[in-house]
Amino acid sequence: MALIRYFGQIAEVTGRTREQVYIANTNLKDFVDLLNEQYGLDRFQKQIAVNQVLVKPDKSYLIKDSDEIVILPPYAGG
Amino acid sequence: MKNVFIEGAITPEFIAESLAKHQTKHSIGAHNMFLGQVRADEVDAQKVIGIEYTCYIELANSQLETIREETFQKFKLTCMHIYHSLGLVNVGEVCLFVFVSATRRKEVYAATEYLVNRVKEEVPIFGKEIFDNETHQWKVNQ
Repeated sequence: MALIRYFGQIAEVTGRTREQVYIANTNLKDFVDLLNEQYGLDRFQKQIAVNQVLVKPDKSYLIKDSDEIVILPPYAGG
Repeated sequence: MKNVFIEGAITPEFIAESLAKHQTKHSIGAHNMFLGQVRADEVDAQKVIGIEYTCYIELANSQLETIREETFQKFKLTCMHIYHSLGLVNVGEVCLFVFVSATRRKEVYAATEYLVNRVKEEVPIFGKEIFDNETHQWKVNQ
């Protein structure tokens, strides 16, 4: 199963820092749209990391069941 | 990558010790430091009393490694250190410490600014601003 992780305000809104999801024949854009709808995340600026690399959520980017997908709100270091 | 993240505030003692450790490096002629301190911002008559920091550590470490390598390529530095707090840092306490050293002063000013800007833009660190009435908001870097 894929591991989905959430940070910062996005973790607060989803009520969790991680969950496991079964992924089959899905692209990153559709998957993020699904999360947006499920958790009401549309209004948040976010970046997506797949296996520790930032990726644009395109329809052409296919995700796998072994991936780690991380939903990142805007950064606030310093 | 050396350990960047420290639990709680970065203390003045830690900063002084960092300096002391460099005094045996006799090729150094100039040090420059940036210290980011938590400020008592006011939002709708609520005052910030602290910031609670978290980070996506795996990506943070790889981004810091890239930033470190590229900074050494761009500037002639002898040494460079980045430290950032995790957990609660109170107003008036330091949460970011960037410390660069070089043979001469020419390199250190621009290198410090470059490093601080890149850390703030590219490292996945998140901050929950805690107000004096026990509510909070999420910090966003400008």
